[in-house]
Amino acid sequence: MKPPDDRPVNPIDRDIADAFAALDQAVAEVNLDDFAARVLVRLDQAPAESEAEPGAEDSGLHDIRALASSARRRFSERDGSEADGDDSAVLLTAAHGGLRAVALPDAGARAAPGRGGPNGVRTDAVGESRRAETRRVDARSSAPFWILGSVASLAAAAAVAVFVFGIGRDRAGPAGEERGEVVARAEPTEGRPAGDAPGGAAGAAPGDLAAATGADGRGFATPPPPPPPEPEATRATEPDQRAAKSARDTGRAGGADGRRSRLREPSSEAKGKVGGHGAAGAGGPPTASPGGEGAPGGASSAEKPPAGGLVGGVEGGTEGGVEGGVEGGAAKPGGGTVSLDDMLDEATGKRPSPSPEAEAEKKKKEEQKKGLDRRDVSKALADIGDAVQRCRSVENVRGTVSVKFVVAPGGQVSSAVPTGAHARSKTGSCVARAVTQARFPAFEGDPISFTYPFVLAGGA
Amino acid sequence: MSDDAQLIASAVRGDRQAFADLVRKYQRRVFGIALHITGNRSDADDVAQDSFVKAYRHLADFDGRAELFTWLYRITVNSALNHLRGDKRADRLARAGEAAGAGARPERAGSDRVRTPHEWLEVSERLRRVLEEIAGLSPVLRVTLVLATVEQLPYKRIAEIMDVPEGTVAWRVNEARKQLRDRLHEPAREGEESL
Repeated sequence: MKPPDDRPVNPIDRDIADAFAALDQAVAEVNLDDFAARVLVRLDQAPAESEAEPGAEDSGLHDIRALASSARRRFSERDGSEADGDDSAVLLTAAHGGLRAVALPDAGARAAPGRGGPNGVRTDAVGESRRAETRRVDARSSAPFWILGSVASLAAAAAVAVFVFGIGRDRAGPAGEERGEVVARAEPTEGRPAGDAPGGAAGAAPGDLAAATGADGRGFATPPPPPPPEPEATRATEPDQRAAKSARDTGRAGGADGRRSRLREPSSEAKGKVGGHGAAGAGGPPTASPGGEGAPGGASSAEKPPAGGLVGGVEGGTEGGVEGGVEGGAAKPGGGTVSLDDMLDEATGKRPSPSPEAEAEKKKKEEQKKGLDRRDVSKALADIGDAVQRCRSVENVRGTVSVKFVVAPGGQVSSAVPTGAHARSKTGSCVARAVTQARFPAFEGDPISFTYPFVLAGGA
Repeated sequence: MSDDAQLIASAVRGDRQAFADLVRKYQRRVFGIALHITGNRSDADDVAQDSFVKAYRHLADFDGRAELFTWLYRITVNSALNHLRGDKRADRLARAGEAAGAGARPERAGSDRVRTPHEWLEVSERLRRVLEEIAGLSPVLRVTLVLATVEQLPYKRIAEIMDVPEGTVAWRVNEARKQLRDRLHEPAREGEESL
């Protein structure tokens, strides 16, 4: 590059020339073999594009398009095998699932027919990783039949006991009959999701032991029974109480629904229990409305006359169902704050939770540097100082051995060659070998080459 | 008829292969100009492609009075200017030093003597800073400065390319140098490591 004749060389121009010489080196390394082909492809693609919209560059439309495109791509990537290429459908599905999961409490979501998530994964699962959810579903599908069997046996035994000892006959009014009927109806509803049970009472009635003991295997919308405030309640059978306890325990373990509820009501532990009691007072459908209080439900079932027990139970179950979920979530071990984004993702099953390895990989990648700085180089070379100094003994050499080495983006030394006076000496080879052991931090970009003068000094 | 003229005539008749030959002949120089102006490979690739596409569309208008490369040069400069004006991404400055950082070898840009890593890093940082500050100039000043100091074009030719009076070119070059000098003499910005 020679300066033009009619202008003096400006000092700042030297810096500029040096900087652009570096850029020119980059140009020399750029592979343009396929450039012509790409231009031809662009010619085919673009004929109308820039002529139709000459001002498009500055219109800002390209930004919006890019945004939309990246959003679609994001959804497509999340969707994985579920996506069939129709991005808009994916978007719609995601929005729909997300709104449903947020707006409806778990019980309502379960009761809603035909709302199962893609691939059979429950879309109302919020709060746990998708993997954990899948495990739960597996556990559910491989149903602990012995539990169901034993529960059914207990229910039958309880019914027989009630009948034999005449307790049932002593019950005043139709409420006892209702309860008895509910217990009896428990068997046909076994193993069905609470929401599938016909009618609210059958879905979550205290006698519905199958539902109460967790054929579902997760947080229950049906909360446990309360301590009976009325004689009717004290006649609740032992299996009922056991079932209630089981339901309470299971509710604690079940995290997904509970975690969502927890977001709604952070101090829901106590409320959840109260709500659970209310629900257990007489049971009810799991189609709870958001914000339902468990306590009123319990009170209504306890205070109402036996004849009204079922109605009160419906209310209690309805409202308590929500709080039962709350309890489960509040007690979930390790339950943390969940962002709305996570909830949407989990609910729509669009994004599998990253594994620890993936997270670590991502973190590592984020930590990758743009290049190496002085500290990195000094530290890496200091680490091999001993190995380098041991090379003195090869030929009993003192002095400087220069080694040219290349550091790959991964941080390892990809090549090391002695230069200068020791280019062909054993000492030079020894130092070069030592340099290959150096480890630098990983960085982004092309390999970097260094020439470093190692000083072999000191005593023998 | 020169090689270029033959290729142009064929390309105007729709011979894509002829145009591809022209692209191959000038691609590195066009890419180089684009890189000098945009400061990073990715944008340079865009601008270079865009320039050839525009050239193809208007190839029939090329009258042959100037060299093809001069014509291409002008298209490239204008494409790059449009690109700079339309592209206001915040990471431009960061990407501007890409080549001086990891991609290029500053040791080749300076003297040939063996550099220690510390010297190497200082050169690299210095060049990165220069490129960043050039990228921080306004598009017009940047392009004028690049054409004058890097491409070594006479003011008269720069004036033709940018379609401005020669005096304007001189003023822009001086202004760009002044701004650059001021910025380079400023202390390193917060967060930058001084080497």
